Amino acid sequence: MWIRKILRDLKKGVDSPMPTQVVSNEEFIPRRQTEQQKQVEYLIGELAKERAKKLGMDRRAFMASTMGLATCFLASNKVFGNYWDVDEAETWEEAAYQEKWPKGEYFIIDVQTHFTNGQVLPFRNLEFVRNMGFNLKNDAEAYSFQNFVKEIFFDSETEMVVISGVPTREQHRDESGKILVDQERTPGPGAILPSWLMAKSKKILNELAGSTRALCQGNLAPNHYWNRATNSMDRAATLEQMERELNLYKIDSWKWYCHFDPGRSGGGFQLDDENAFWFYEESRKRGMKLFSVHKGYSYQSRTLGHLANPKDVEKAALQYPDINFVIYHSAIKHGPNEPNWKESNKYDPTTGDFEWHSVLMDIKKRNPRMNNVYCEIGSFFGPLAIADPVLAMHGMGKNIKYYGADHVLWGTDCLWWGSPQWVIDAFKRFQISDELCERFGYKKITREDKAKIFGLNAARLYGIDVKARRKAFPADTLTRLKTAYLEKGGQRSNAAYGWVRAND
Amino acid sequence: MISMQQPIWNFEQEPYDEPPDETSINLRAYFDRMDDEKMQQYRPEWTDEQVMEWDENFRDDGNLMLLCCERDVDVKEYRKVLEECIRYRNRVRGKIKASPL
Repeated sequence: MWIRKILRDLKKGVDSPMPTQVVSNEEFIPRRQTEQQKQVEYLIGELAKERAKKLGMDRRAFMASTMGLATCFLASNKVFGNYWDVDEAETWEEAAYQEKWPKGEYFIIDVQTHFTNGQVLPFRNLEFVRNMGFNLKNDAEAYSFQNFVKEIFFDSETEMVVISGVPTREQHRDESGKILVDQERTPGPGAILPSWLMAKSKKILNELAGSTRALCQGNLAPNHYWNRATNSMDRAATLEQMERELNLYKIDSWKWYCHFDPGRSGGGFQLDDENAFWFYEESRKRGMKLFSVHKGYSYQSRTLGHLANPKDVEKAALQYPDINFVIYHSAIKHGPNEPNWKESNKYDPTTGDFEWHSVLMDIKKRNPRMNNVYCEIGSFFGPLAIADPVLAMHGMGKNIKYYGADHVLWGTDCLWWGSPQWVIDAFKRFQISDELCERFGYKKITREDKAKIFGLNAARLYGIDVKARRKAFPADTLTRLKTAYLEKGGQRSNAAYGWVRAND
Repeated sequence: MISMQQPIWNFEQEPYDEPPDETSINLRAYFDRMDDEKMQQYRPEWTDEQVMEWDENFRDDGNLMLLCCERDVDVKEYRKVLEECIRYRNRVRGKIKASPL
């Protein structure tokens, strides 16, 4: 039986702002909590109890503070080695954190955020949530969106998001020929984050904020409209949807999953096949030249699984140098997040290679001048960091070594992992050890590198004027709501919504 | 646990009654990875709750923990496809065991 991590923690009495085991985002089966992770979890509890008591705070409030989060990294250092840059003082006083990590140092754009699949969450009855200023329906979908705003914007330093989709095919018309709108376009259960919903959520959020806080992706892909009679792509229907997503939804990037088949074409597609090339040409004519592509995590289907291998990035990127490809999850296949990763040689400790991630790295090694491929790090950096910080050093070390710090993008895959503040803190505190730099040729990550990865690279790709945004945000409604939320005692829930085994 | 090896079975690529989406394909692939001995334990007379307990891979929302799928798979669809898979295995078992893929 699988349950959401939040439920597991409630049952076990665990309250930790940093997940102490890998959770599933429904794209991979997570490893059980390891012995080391159990130790970290135990230590977080003990250290927090001691500190909260001495500080006269209740434990819940302590865990929601910067001190609680700093305590998690201190606990990790005690188990894995002294890898995270955390001072004991940060676990005792907020001021020490504020001094060490100045507020607003980084402009954070999260290019991989998701809602919680319409789940009604327990926070809905809290006073500050009822009065958050949203004018939405009283249903699961609306509450999911409110929770998304709370966890991402109020409970973390994230300043902008890209709402990232899940492949869904929209139905153009009903039987009478009437053009369908919104929910009508994705009837029945299962449409988690269709393009129309992402666009609508982006609009609501930006109108509420009075500034541009959210961007969104469009799900349309070459196999969504399929002519079964000719067993070929339905180009007319594809163009109709392309126009709709670009002109009506005003999407900011495409989001492709080559190993999904919502159009029931009988297979997936590849970035370097004829249909994809046709799509690039049509999209380019209409001004959209940003393609975000899920690579890595995939099921083991013979028919579809291999389509998530990043091997097809090379030809597409070389043939279309003016199109930018953002490769999600940095294409890690399974690796150390999964149960039998050791037996399957999914990670090689002698080289620091992860399966499929190494394919992406090899593409850049072969094509050093290729400049239009980016590594996104959602459900890559975070889970590696909590599995073992050394794994994160290899993953990030290679991304930066081969693609450069200006070609790595910040993404978190939250809300699967709860509020992203823990992974933001982790990256602030992250460094590659001298030993690994020497042995593997990695570079130390500077604060300038981190600034690029946290947001400046995404800003460049999405055409965001960071200076103007930084000027506008402090005065927008979202900032005012966040201030009111914090003044009323709003706290991070420390809930992760991904899946874990009920007995883990 | 998901095996990283391709299984001897290939129910996944048997003909479908209607065009499959990735969920239908992945569900068949899921059964291809189920141990034959375990699959033979299945009894059609079991209640849905018994099936979910037996499989051990359902979520507390009643759907199967199936990866990379747009649709959820409930126990009704699970049982239908499982029973098709059992018929497939009964048909090919002798041939496959005699000459493994």
